[in-house]
Amino acid sequence: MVTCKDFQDFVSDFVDGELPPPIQKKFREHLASCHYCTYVYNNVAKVCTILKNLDKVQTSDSFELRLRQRLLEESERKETGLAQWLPSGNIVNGKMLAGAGAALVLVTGIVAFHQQGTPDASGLLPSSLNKSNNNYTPISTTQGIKPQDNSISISNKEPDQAGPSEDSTTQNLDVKKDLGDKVKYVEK
Amino acid sequence: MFKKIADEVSDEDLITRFQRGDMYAFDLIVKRYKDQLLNFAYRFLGDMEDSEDIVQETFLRVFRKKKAYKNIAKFSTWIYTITGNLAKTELRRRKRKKLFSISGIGYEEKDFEIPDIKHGPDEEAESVVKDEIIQKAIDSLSSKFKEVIILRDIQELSYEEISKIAKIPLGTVKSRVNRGRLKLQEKLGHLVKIP
Repeated sequence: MVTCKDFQDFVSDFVDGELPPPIQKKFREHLASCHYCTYVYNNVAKVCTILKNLDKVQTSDSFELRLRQRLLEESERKETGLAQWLPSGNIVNGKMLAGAGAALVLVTGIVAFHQQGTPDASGLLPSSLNKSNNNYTPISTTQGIKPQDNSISISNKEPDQAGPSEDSTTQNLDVKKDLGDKVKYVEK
Repeated sequence: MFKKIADEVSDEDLITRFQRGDMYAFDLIVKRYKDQLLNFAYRFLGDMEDSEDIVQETFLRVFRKKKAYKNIAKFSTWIYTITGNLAKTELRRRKRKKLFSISGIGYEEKDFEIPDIKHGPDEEAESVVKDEIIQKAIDSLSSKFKEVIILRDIQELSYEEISKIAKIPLGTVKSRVNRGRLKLQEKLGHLVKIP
């Protein structure tokens, strides 16, 4: 037996003729005995007809022209702007820029760490600061001073002590100038 | 003759040609879809200017993301999904604007009102005013009901296609269409003349 709730739960399928024939028959029997469901059914069917027959709107005459202009502007922007060296798509560009920025920060951080922790590990320091060079002597061993984390000490030995020539002293002074406070130049 | 050939080319062929750089194929896509998408957007938003903007943006996105379309789905499903998503975003934007701009002072949410057509001429109810009333009734539906009702009863798409556009199961589409129609018949019941 079809109840009013059953009928209203499937009234759309009934209007669209999508119910199996035996169920359709039961629904029709229910309609014959229920005024309220008949009212709802008629309303739904009419609403469907009204919606199907609504006036169709049309795009304005300038629609295609405006679209062409926007496409043209966009392609011009691509040719002249950032898009020239980045792949297309705003979201992709944003993500790529963020990724590139993050990678840059990471690489800079790693380089800075190596410079502070082990002077020669990164291989980016000048050869005059390299540990393998004889003129490199940590402060702690030469002066008895506690080593400081952020300092790099350079011992300047005489050229005849198996160290570098005079040039290397000048070179070391230049390096000191270059590295500023981070370098402690120790003259023996 | 030429128009006939253009009409016979499927949407999927057109987008494939456009993906290979054929701009004429893109023009044909625009001509084929601009009005039906406008009808969809207009019934969704109830505003012609905003709806045209949405349709323009739809074609811009098709242009930009042409490679994103894969031939496994119907082109119409893809383009309707883009328009539907843009229209829903616009509705959300309006809702936010309403919430934050007026701050509740002097603001009164207007309920949907059905004019008392018992006292008005029948012709009026059946012409322009009728269209306005129907549009207001559609506007009063929430997005999820509105989308399926427009696609089913105005755009006359199949339940299967609506399911793909709205990305919801077929059963959910049917149930939303049913509930949407019941809501509309409650609002438009006075307008409907029962024979």
